[in-house]
Amino acid sequence: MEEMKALTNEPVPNHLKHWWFALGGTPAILFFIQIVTGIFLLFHYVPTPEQAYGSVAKISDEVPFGWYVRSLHKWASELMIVTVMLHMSRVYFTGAYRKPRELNWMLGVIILFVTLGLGFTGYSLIYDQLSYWAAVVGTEIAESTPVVGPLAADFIRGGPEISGNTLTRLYVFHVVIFPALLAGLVALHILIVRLNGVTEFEFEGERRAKHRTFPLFPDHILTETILAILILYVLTMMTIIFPAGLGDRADPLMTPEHIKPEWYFFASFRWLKLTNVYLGVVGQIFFVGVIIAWPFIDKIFENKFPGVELSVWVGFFGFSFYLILTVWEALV
Amino acid sequence: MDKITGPDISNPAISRRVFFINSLMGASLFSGMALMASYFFRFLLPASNVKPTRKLYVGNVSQIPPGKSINFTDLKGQRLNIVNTGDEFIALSTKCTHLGCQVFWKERERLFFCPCHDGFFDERGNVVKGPPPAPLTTYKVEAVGQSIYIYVDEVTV
Amino acid sequence: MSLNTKKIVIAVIGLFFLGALLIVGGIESNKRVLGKKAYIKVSATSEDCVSCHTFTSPSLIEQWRDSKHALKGVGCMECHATDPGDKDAWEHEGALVTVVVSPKDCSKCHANENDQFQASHHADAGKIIGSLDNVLAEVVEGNMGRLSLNGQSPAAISGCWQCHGSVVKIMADGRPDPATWPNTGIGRINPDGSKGSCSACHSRHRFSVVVSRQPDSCGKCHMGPDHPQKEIYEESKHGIAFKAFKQDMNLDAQPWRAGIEYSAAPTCATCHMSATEELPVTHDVGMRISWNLRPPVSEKIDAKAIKAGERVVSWEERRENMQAVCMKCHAENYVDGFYLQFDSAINLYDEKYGKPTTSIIKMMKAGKVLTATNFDEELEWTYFYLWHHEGRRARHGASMMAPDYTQWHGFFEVAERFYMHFVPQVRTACEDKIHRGGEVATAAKLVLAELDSILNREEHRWFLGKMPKDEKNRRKLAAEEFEKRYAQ
Repeated sequence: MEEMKALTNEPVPNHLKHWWFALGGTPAILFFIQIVTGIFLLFHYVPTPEQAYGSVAKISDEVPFGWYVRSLHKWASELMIVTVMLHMSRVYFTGAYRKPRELNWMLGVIILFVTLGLGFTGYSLIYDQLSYWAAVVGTEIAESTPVVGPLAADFIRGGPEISGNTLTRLYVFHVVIFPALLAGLVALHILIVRLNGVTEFEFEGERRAKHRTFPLFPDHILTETILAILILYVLTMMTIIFPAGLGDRADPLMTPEHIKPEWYFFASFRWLKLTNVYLGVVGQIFFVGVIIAWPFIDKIFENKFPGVELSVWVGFFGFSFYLILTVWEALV
Repeated sequence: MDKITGPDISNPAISRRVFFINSLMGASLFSGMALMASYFFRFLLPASNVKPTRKLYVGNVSQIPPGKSINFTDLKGQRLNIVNTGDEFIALSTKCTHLGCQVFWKERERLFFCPCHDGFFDERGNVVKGPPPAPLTTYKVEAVGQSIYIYVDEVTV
Repeated sequence: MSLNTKKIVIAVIGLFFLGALLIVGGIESNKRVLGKKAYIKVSATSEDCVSCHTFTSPSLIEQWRDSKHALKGVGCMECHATDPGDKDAWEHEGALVTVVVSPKDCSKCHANENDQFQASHHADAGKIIGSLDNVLAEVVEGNMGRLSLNGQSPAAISGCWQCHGSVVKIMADGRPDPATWPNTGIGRINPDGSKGSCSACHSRHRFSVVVSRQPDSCGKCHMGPDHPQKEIYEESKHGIAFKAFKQDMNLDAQPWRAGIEYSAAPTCATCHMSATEELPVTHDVGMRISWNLRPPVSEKIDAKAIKAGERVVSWEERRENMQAVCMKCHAENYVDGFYLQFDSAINLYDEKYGKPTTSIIKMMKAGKVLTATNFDEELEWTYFYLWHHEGRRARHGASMMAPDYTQWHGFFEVAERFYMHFVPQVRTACEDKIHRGGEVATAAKLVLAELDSILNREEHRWFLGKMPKDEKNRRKLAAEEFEKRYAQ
């Protein structure tokens, strides 16, 4: 017991007493919740076009606590994407991506996109009108990517158009490929954090503290426990007040008047509406490339304009741009 | 590595206060997790209330005087018979449990008779004589005021 | 935050979590109540209605359960709830409801359909006050005095208004006037001011679109001696095909487009309302009609509006809409040929019978040869039959390809009415007035002169024995040939 404690009792830098540094653990907790609720949902969900919608309805209406498990899964997914983005912002604005942590930053960006992919594939499995037509729009956008577009679209769709094959593929991505990938990436991400050591910061008024760290166990563990139980409570309240709904059954012959993707794709959607097909897709690929390579771009900025903290300004405007596009799409 | 702070783990005596708080936290966490686990467990079990049923209006009490019965059809087209035994109303499927012929109610003998192979059921559907292997299927009947209702299997959309 | 504080925080949040879970358990047990139908979501406010009306009007509840409304969570209060200020609000078992669910209420979800419907002639069907038919119902046939119901003629209440729609009146106690309700006439004037009744075609409470697509729905009103569209349809090839292939009609499909979801036969709805691949559904039934065949003399459907200086869709465009539907099954030449036939039949009626009789009657009324009271003289009934019944039958028969209605129920009876009744009655009436002398005699003489000039026209002169000689001979020869073949 003593040895275990000594082994795992890595000292935690004092700045982690500030709660907004707990934003990394939160998506991990939510990921765990998603895996558990997801596995349970697998017992009742049927991934064929004929039965998918009905099986989801059955979960919502007939299975004991089916509505609860499903709503947990839905809200945890929304919250997970929000907290991943918040964590990413925290890391960005505290410059914690800088040397020697560039690799971890890039891993984190990939984690973000896998999470978004989980959101997209997960929603398509419901097979209501929004699922179906969002999948259509999504694959059309993929198809318009230069060079690899048509191949990628065919791969996602399992053919030249949306069919039963598509649902099966999205199912495999959502249930096996993305979760396994995410688990591996997150494990790697956390491992590298431990290897590099948590970035240490100093805040005003704290230099006088006798010790610069505090114990993982039991202090930080308790913090994470508070977080976990708080998340479970909030999620449960969400399921009570806003249980997961079900739109109309997917109808390939009738496009609804307003197709909207999930909120996290609003900015991308709006961007595509504002630009031509080419700029829309290529522009976004460029944007993603900048984000991934940011630690290196930032270094160039630092060398050229030392002390200006250009990254903060770039981050501020970039994030605001994303927010503005998102809100714009939401309002229209 | 800096010196680890926190409760002195070498001292085995924990104060009462700490013990109490630990217990409170443990109980709270345990009950929450246990309850949630029970919900998830029931999630996996098939619904214990079996199939949903629909309550149908049969008619007025006066339509089935004691000793008499009426025919009725459920939502799936299966025929059944509602008998007034004098003490209560009983609803039974009229499909013989032997080979599926329709039984009919013989008033004087107060028995259900299956003409195919001479099977007999009493007014409660129990087998009295003949080849039928099991009693007739029952349906739940309710008399509320002057009205008789029956619970039949729901047909889902 | 000290360790102990953290632990207390965990304990407290844990209790909140437990509380939330108990609520979840409560919600779950509510869902397990016996008798609740899976997939049908009944709103809380409608629960009470359903639980009582399951006993008092079980079929109503069952019909509603089978409806698409029930599937989508549209229950009782979603349609029957009213606001306290509404004229037709009625306190019922603790809820404020209305019995009269008007198109305005339906438009909460079906706004498009309501807009189209309000613009249509169907919605105006209730505006018959002042029409000749109305005089018949209230004065000639019925009574609004000692034999009335609340001052209304029972002939109108149970007859005219059940198709045309009543003006629903709410009495002092908040209940509707039994003279005006029940009523699902398509032009009903509702207490909330809106026109019409959706349940005229979309019968409640199942509101199935299958019912409204049935020709019989239209036939509830569009039938009978004065506008036998239902009978005409059934005589026509369209109606025969429908009867033969009804099972292929896919009547509950949505969308329901001619040539795509079904192609076995057209129904009333197919041509007058329903969608094709290009045309959307319209509840404005006038949008594909070019002729107005209602009046004594036919006119194009936009004539009245043009005279009033309004801008409406032209009759040519409406005809094109209709032809777009025809051409889902028929070739262009076929359709054009039909319309030529149709137009010339209308022209025949108008020129030979409609216009002449109308001008004669007008002259007689103006010159007081006829009294001011309608329907007190036989000639007025004769004229009414001629244009309102037989004349309409001939025209409607021609419009929808029913030869028997065009001919034997139509032009034959128009001709008989004209020659054997109208003409002699005009002559008798005028000669009678001429005998009495005075101003009226002068007018009567003018009428006779007009009648004479009409009868001397090419189409009428046979009646005066003035058929041209060569035509007479031709017909005589043809008759002899015919006799050799068929006569005894």
